[in-house]
Amino acid sequence: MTSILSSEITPEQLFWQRRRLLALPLLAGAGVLLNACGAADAPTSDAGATPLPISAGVVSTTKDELGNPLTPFETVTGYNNYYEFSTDKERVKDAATGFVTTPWSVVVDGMVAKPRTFGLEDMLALESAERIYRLRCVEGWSMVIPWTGFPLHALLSLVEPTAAAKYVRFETLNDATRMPGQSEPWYQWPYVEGLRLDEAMHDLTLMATGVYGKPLPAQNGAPLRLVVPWKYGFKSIKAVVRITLTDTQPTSLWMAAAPDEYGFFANVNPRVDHPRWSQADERRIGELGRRPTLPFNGYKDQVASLYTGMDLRKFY
Amino acid sequence: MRAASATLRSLIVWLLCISPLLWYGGVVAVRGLPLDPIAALTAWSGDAALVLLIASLAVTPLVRWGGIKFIAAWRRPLGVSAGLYALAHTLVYVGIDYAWAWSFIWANISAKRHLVVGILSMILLVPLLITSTRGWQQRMGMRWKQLHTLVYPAAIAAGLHFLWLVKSDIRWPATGLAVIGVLLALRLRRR
Repeated sequence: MTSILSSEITPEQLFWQRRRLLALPLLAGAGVLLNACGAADAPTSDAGATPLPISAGVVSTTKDELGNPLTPFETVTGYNNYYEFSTDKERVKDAATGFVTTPWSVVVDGMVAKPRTFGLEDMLALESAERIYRLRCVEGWSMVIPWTGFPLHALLSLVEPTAAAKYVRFETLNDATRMPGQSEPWYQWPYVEGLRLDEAMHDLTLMATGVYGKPLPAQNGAPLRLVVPWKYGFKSIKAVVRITLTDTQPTSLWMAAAPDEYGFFANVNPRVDHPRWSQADERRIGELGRRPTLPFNGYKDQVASLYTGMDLRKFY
Repeated sequence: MRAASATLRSLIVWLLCISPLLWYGGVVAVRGLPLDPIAALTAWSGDAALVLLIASLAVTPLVRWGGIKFIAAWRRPLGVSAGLYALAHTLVYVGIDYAWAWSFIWANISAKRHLVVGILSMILLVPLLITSTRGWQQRMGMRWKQLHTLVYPAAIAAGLHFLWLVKSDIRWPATGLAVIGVLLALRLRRR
């Protein structure tokens, strides 16, 4: 085996900038043209852009608790449902390159005793842990992903929800200049999601700041995103800027777009079909054939008690 | 000279028929293999089938009202390749995506309208594929022409299959259905 001096290895950040360097002469040329049209505010620096990891960091295991192998790093960071950047899952990564996530702050307000704006550094200071979760997309595919982050209850306990608070509403950054997909007229931006307060306080509910032992790449929802593993993936809102405690059930972007197809709860349930396809099976990305979908995505023992007495067909 | 241009014309239609393979081959060469190749194969074969089906339906109006007589010979290869892409699309879904797991497939088909119309379209196209040879055409005579009008409902069903599949952005399927509608409406006109 040939040994490579560590000094010869391209730093990850430089590696990610290589295409940008190639594009510089082109941009310079375009800049002249743009300036001729009066647009002088073309971006001049990438200061603060999130460095995108190109390789996996350290992960403690290769399997989830059911023995399912982790989905490869390249797939997790290259196959993303993120309409703010592109509706083509394999184009999101390129479309999100250069998305600036510093500075970043998250407003936590509403029915709380101590409303507060958290800087990203405050969030990253919260105790972080690795969580291996299955992700089941409502479209019928799934992955196994090693996240790092902190449980949402750690954040909520700092702001002290009042007794009247029943729901938590989450909102994604709303800035079409940074998220080009938001200029598409098909959806009511920004992306909004919600949880019942007891769901939000559940220990499985994670605010992820990293994946595969690296900071979260833009295409995975940098700088921080929700992960609720027993619900369909669309509940796990990305690039969160606002968390509001409320007494009324939030209307999510998908509920507004197609109320008969996407409910508030969106618990993974093989017995309740999507109106346009079965939810009984799923394709684990990278596998041939299909797997049966598990109730609550395999987290039934931990979360089923949250829904005791509820008709899960009605509250889908 | 005539022979040369005839060769050129058959080369063009042959290229049209394999253009989806060339296009997606190029996409893979540039971008690498998709991370979800099964989903990509499904989408690509479906797109190819629908586009070539529309192309085959465009031949008759172009010959009749566009005055481009020489493309009349293109109808058969375009239609046959559309049917073959549709068959590949179906086999990818059943054999690769679902790996012949009929219980899952049946759970999907029952009451899922986009699958119902997709299967309907495939069922209509199969006899057309089988009888697509000149031999069958001569043997069947006038009945061949009648049978092959099945391509009209097959095209509408294929367009609906696409429309009912997409989430919200219906631009492409709506465009496809509109083109199919125009091409079929043109046939209602007298010559």
